[in-house]
Amino acid sequence: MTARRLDAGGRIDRTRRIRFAWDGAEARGFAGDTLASALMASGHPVVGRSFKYHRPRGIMSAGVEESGAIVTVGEGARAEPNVKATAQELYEGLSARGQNAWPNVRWDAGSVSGLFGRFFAAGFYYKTFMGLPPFEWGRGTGLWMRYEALIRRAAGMGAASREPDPDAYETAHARCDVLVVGSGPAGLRAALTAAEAGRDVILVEQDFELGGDLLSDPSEWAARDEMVAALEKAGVRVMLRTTAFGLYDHGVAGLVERVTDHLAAPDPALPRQRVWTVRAGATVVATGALERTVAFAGNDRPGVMTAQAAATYATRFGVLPGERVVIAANNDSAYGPAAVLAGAGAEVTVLDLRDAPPDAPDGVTVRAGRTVAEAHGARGVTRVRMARPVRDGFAGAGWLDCDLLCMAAGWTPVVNLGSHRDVRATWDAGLATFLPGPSREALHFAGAAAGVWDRARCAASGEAAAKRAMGEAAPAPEPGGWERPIAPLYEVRVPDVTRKSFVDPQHDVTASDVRLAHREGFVSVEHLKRYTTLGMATDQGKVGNVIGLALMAEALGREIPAVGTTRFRPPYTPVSIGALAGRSVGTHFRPTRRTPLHDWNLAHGATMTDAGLWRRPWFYPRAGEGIAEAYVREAATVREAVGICDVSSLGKIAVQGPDAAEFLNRVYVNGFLKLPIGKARYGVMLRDDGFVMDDGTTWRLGEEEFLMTTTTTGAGRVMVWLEELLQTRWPELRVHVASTTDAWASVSVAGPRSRETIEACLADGSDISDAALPFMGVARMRLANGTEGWIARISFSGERAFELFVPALDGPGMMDLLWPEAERRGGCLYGLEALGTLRIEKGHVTGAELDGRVTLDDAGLGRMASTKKAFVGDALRRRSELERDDRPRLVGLFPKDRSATFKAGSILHAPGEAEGMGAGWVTAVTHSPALGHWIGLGFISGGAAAWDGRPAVADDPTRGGSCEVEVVSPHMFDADGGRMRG
Amino acid sequence: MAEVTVSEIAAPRLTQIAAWPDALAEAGSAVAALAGVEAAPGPGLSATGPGGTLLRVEPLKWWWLHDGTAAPDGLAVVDLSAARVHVALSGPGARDVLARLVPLDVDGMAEGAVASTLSHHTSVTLWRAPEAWRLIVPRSYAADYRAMIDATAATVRVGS
Amino acid sequence: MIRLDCPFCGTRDHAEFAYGGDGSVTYPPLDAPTGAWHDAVFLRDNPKGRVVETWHHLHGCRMWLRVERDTVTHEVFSVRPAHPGLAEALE
Repeated sequence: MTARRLDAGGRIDRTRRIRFAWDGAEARGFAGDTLASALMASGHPVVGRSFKYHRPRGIMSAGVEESGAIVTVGEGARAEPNVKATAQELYEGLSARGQNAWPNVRWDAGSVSGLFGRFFAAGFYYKTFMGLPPFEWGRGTGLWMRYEALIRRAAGMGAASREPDPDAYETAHARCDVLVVGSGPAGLRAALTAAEAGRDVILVEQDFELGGDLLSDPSEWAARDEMVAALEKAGVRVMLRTTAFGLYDHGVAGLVERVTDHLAAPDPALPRQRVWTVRAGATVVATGALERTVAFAGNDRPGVMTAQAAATYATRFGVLPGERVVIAANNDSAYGPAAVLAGAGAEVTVLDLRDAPPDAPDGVTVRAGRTVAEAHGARGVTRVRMARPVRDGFAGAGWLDCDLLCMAAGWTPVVNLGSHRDVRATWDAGLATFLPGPSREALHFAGAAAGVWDRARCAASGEAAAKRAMGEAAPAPEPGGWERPIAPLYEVRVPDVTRKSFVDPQHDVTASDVRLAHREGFVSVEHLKRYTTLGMATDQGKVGNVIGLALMAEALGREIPAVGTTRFRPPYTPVSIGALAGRSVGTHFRPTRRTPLHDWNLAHGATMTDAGLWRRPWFYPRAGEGIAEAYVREAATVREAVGICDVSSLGKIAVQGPDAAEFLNRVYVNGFLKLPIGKARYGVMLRDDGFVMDDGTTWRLGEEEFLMTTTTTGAGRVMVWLEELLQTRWPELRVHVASTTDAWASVSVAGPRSRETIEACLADGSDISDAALPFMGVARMRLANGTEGWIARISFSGERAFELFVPALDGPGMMDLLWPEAERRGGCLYGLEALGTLRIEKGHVTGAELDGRVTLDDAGLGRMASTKKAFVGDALRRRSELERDDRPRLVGLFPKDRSATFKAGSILHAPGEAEGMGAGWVTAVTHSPALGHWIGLGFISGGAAAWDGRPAVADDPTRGGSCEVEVVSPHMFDADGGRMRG
Repeated sequence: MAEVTVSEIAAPRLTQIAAWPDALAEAGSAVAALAGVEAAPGPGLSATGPGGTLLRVEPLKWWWLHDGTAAPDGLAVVDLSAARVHVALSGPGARDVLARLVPLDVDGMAEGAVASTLSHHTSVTLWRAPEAWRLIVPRSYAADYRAMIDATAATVRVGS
Repeated sequence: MIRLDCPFCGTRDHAEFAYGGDGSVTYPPLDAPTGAWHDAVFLRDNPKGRVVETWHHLHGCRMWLRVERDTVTHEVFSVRPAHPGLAEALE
């Protein structure tokens, strides 16, 4: 290919020169160029190397179906592989390079693999070294693993950067009455029709200019400009550089907008790309059609491209792709490009397969009854061999020198978006193409996407589609538009030519691969696709699908429609995963929930940790302390003096109404109907299937007023459950539930000095003596600073303890009163780690034990279950398998050697029986200040009674380590609970 | 590019009032009297009077924004004042910020409209108040969500 | 992306909702025998095509809904409040 920039013409702005880099060397172009047109004009015929065979590749098209000019754009963390140079807008400073080649695409050492092409046919990956000749001796040797690693490195497309993506992305929402995809003649007319009828219209165009096909025809530019102005006046929302990558249920479309990919120095506040979710009343698909090529020997050489693409380079970009042009055609559409190229100064010969072709345009030679059989030329086409049809195929018919071979073998409507919505494509033999079938949804095809080939009727087609989108009847123009019919052609083979002919150039799938698949028994089109990987590259088969189907049909001896088609799936073109994630990355991957005491905790030295979505204090290290020293000190201080812990993240649900007590009575396993006002009760609730769902304390604040607390991570689940019960099962109950988790700041004040600490902070006249506020009592509270709230005598730590609840914003003020009083009494602040230690010592269960697989009896809470009332889960917890004696039961664990440690997650088993699932597992471990050694909680088959006197082993095969343990009661400290009372 | 102002409204009072399904009309009257409006607002609407504003957030629930007085008997009342953070969004760019934040037809929300939805994994209530758009966010999520609003507003201020 | 027509909130994306379960199940009284509860909790017909489901408008009005939907085409035929009293209240 000896391309050159034309002196005049094109839509490029010749006053704005652009410098860019290609493979490290400086190159030049103009504003309005794509990277492909600029490379073409700069004399770079070879811009890529193919996937398997490392064959030199050039520019094959002018659109997103590009299969040759696939390059890497950008440097470092912003390097993006597999960019189609034909779709990349040129900008100042753009840096691009070839990929899948060493040292570069022009002189790639990898091309040596082409010499072994015979061994790399379709399916070689699955067969070599795995038992088939000629490498059957490799089976079972492990050689496959090693050769596979080599192949992986040799084959491939571009390489992605390993660095984090420095760009930000965004997601956004929109709605419209009519969404029009594509701004060619049909799309522009459709958008204008709907907008002028008063509809809210969004017009989406993947290119950087509106116009589609019109951009390649200078005679249409004035009319195109008028249309664009009219669209703006009519209020159409135009989205350029935006691809509709998928259509989804209920009129939803996914769009990706390239916000800054074309800017040299974008504002850092802008996202690089933006993904839109559009909810459209109706959608018009005016996505055009792609020109087809033919499979013949050497059809992937640089210098072979589709005819319309060649014309586009001349008219839109002002680059003549070649001086001596051969166009192999089987339909009328070749003649427009032939005239354009001749008019730009090239010598043009059209080989028309048909015996009675149209008249030759000026400067064009037409040879009837001819097509192309071979293209030759190592780094670019230098000559082609003609072919003429004979009875059973083709025969050679002489040679032509040329530097550009164009293919015009028909059109394939871009039906992908319809395929996303189950629109079946039907084969039209007369047009030798697939046309989109009907849709049950508000989805309307227009223009070339509907098989309309001539421009005037494309506009009419767009108008009709818009009318149908608005609910009016409007017949669609008939597909077609050629004067003379097409002569279908998919492959040219002449005897004795064995050089490769490509069907899917991106994946190096050849015509012989398709025939091989058929010979090996893969007769379904779905198997053809997956076995050969035809259609599985980044173009999703835009180039090769129809040819592949035609070859398969021939092999099967059937017609194309009988072979079937695979479905296209989103995305239409590749979408960056970062764009889909939008702002939900890094720390924002999930929301972070903070308690009202968050800043106060940090200011007082808390080291924080994640508990579900919440940030909670983990421990409060003093100088020189790590976590181990801190939590041991904190736990000991709570038992000896007093400690304060932020428990604001616990779920809190207001349960109100005349039937509130009855409701709670049904939901909990134990009785709540007669809970007195001013008392709290620990409750456990089960799922329908009899397993424990959650636990917490519920307080009765009034006759019809309760406050339910749940675990931190169970809060949402319980709230949903309560709403489900009330709305779907027991609508007769008059109960309202409302989440009040965020309304309160709450702390646990625990330890022998807890009461005096709190008393020092209460308003005058307050009485929280044991008589006034006994164990599990609840009362209104007034702090010395006037803040009103609740105080409940509840203990999770096992010490004398109180939970204080104040409105969230008053939390820090409460802490400013409490903390000095605690500190003066030798107290401390304590976090999750010490909270865990205290509860493990007591054998109090948390989500670590109540993990959804555990029954009431497993957790040792069977006696809580009421025998006097029915409750959720009661029926199914009585299944015989759940009542077996050997079920895993909650136990405490001591290391036999008191100085040893073991880990949560370890498997428990009898000594010498380290097999299968073992006899149980460890749920939580800690050093126990109260007992002076490591302890744990866990579950073991049969419970402590079954292991009395028998040692077990806590085994950690993945992290290493095993420890002999004694199985004891889970209540390892203060078993009778005396410390909580009085 | 469009100007956007984001600000937090200081400590507004918010009381949730829930009705029984078979006594919705009576509850509506009681609630309307609290706010001093003619009628309690229907689904997705608000009503403002001398006694405050009512937002109809659920089939059986209103949110009463007010300056702090008692609520009527016979209804389930919960004080959610501390449980929510109110963020006001105003300026020509506010609409574009909302188009990025919430999956709602913002242009279809007339003044006074109320809608609860999902935004950046957070349950939020959007109210088109007379002076500005207002996002009502659960307090525990608010710091994180505010960061999302601010980042989005920064983008809209620059343009697209 | 299924869109559901919530009777209170209007048409919303499915992300605002949480799927509940099989809406054709009637749960027995709490004191019914284990066998009845077993059938209600574990046995499902799993038809291909039109089904009745419960959905929860978790991030909207928190109403539980009864939805008739085709599991193959995703066409939604009706969306009603699960609570019979609410259906009247919304009229």
